[in-house]
Amino acid sequence: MKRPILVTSSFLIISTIYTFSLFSWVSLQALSHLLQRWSHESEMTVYLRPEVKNSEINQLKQQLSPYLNQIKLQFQSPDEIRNHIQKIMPQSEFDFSQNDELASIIPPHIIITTTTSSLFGSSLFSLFEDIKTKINNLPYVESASYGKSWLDKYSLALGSFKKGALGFLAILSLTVVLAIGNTIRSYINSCRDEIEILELVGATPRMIRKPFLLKGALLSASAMFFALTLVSITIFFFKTNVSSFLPFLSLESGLYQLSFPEWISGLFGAVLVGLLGSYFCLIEINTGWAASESGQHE
Amino acid sequence: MIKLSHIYKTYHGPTHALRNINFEIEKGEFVFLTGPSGAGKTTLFKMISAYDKPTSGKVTVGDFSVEQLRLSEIPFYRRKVGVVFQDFKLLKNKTLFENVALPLIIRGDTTDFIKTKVMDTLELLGIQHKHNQYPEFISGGEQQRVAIARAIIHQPFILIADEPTGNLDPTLAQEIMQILEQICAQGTTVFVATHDTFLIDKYKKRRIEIHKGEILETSP
Repeated sequence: MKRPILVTSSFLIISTIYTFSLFSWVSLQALSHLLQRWSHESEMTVYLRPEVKNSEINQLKQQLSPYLNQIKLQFQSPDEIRNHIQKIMPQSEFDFSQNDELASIIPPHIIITTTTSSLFGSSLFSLFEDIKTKINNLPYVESASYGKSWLDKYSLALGSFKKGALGFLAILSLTVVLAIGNTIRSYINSCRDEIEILELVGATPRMIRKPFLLKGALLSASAMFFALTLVSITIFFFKTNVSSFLPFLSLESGLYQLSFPEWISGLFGAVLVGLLGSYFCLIEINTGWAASESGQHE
Repeated sequence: MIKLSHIYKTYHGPTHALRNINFEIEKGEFVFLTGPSGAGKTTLFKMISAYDKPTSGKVTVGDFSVEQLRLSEIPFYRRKVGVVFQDFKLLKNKTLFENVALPLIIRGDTTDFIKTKVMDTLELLGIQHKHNQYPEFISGGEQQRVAIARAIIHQPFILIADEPTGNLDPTLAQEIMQILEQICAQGTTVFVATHDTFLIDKYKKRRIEIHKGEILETSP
């Protein structure tokens, strides 16, 4: 295959793999962001017996004190609940003072919410589960629930997806290493004459191998640059044109542009992959006693 | 300068490429290596230029025991040897200047020194006016001159030429031989493989004849 065709086809293959990997990365970030946002809306409610005493409420708060750096407690007494309902529905016909059954329809309860943004998804739900286990057997606790169990499932699915994506990324990286290796191997084969001449005039193995190493790194880095640009343009397009059609996905805040450190990391990683891919082929260049190993003679 | 003692080279098969080769070449000597195709001339040259190792025997060039060179020492040894081939082995995508400058660039010489040295060497070979041209746009004789210029620019102590006139017409072949004579006159040992009897007879130099891997005769 001619050199320009070989390099162009390899460039397209490698940039496609990089683009796919970057899109997966951005999608995972967007899904994590979505999970974070939804998780912060979740809260745990601990319903208490109607006859609960203040000392028992304090005892419950004491039980939860180890978690207070991560959670916020909000106690709602029956009076507060009634006031709240009357406040938000002033025209209502509920007369709590005349109807005991109605008055006790919503028992006193404590709402637990998270105070830290780093706690979301499965970690938040495992905290809620810990709290639930700790307080569920207390005599004055009616029940404790945090609902939104679908979020837990979403979080678990996202975790599995992340692990799967990491595995897939490893396979893709290996594919890129092999693709670069193949390109450089073909390149070396098409440069046999040049290599022979360089050996003839006393070039060291390092001098001969260096340009091929650089070619591998450059091929990989340019493919990554192309992929980064393509992904950035696509994100920009989604944020400006598509987010209005799909508001529930909150693309505006969830889908974010690749940061400068991500660009640098991407390019640096690509250079490393390129160097690795070409390095494996360079051991094929024999810069020592060539003929006796190949068995050529006149 | 060059001393080969009891050189044997056997390939898988077994094929005996060289058998008990012994000869010595003095500093500044001009020697022809003759013999038919397949006699072992190129194998012998490959051993002197550290491309191949003998199965047994000793190759000494100057202070170097060539067969004992470590891989890391081979490039530095090759910088002291000039090699010219029948097919010129020039880089097609480089100008004549760049081709000739290659050994100096590899040696790490300064740009100014390289410029001066390359132009002087091209002038010596009468092709300085074509320094910006590419090999495919010049004649075979000129290409061989470029190859010789590249082989001598770093002032090697031996110049090995494997059939340097093989692709040239008789007139050009004689021109190349005259150039090699001039180089030898300046103190470089010149070892030329050829089966051109006309040239061998005309130049009346010492001759080592090899046939089926063995030395038939050496003269005078």
